[in-house]
Amino acid sequence: VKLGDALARLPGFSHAVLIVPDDDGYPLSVATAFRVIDGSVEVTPASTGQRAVRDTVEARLVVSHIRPYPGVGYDQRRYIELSGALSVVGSAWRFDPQAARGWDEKDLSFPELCQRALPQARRYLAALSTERGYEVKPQMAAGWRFFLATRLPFLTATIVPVFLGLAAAGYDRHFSLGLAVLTLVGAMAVHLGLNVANDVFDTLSGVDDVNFTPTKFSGGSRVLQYGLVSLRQMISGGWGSFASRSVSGRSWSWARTSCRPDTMRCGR
Amino acid sequence: MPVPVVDLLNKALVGELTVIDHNGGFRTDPLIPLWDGRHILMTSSILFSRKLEDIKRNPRVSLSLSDPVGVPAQPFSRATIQGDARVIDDGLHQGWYRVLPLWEAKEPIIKTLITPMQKLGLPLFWERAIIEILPRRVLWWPNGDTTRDPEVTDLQEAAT
Repeated sequence: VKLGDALARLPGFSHAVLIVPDDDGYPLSVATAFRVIDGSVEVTPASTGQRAVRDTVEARLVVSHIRPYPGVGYDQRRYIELSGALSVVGSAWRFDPQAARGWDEKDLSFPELCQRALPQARRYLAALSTERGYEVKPQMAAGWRFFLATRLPFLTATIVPVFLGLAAAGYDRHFSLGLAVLTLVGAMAVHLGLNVANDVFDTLSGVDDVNFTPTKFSGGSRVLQYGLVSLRQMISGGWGSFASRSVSGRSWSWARTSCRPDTMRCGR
Repeated sequence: MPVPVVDLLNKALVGELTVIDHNGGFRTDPLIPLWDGRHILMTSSILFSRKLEDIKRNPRVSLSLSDPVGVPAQPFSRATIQGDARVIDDGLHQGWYRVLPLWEAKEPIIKTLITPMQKLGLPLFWERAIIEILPRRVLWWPNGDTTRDPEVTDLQEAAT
């Protein structure tokens, strides 16, 4: 968050929390009123009991807001943290901000915030793995990982046209159950293999890593970005799909030339 | 823990947790505080795990309950709780489910968001650690007026 932008937004908050160092090394936070004057913040003096607030260059001023939905949760999340120097001389304290950070879900959606935070999650897992001496990975059941990695629901885009073709073959009295199954299996294998290969190449090129606004139709499955599946597993999965397609294709070819389409009796 | 502050903790949808970062400065994040009768509990996704790293380096933290909207207690008051935090991250996937009943009481929708299908959207958001804070010192401002002296409770002294 740019400092000027943060200061411009401050009046939209009802109060601030001032944070200063305590005598025994704890942060000491206290709510207070404030107003922005010419790039600095005038803070209403607050009492923290015997441990008085003193001048410090390590102060923080935090404002935050949520809108509760009783019985559900909340929305309209936003907060700003200003870091700077605090002077407690006089009847109004003065906070001179030097930097700002924060988040407003109106400007940056929560899903995008999560996507942007992926490197931090990977760093944390890597540090945890080092600390424990074994790899700590995010967990998901194998079935769900397969569902996600292959983008399984999109198979309908293959299954529907294949069924249309089979219906046409049936209408033309050339339907064969065996060939139909081989066609369906081969088409699905190609589709799944392409989905997986797309993820592999978009990850290797870095495209998916910098896509912070993936949708159901773009940005891939993100199983590699999430660390749910390794690159090696994805490559193996892709090859496996293409191998299945190859086997079903060859079988289809053989059956088409060697078997009677109506009975699927093969050989002479 | 003073009774009015327990009431605040039980009502609070948000509190400002301040930790000490690797430079010795402060870092504050809004989080949902939960009270189990002895500790203040919070959960944090590994996506937003800088505070977890900071706590592991320096456990001294401060929690402020300050927002009349986010802390809908009647009568309203304000509190600051200083304490020692520890990170419990040995069960990132489901270890934090033990605080789910407390979390659900404040944010009922959470139960519908943790089904396997729902988790697919943001799976790493649901890999979470627990922050467990042992309160040491509590400052309580009746009526929320922080220009007046707070009532201070030293829980460490009380314990000894």
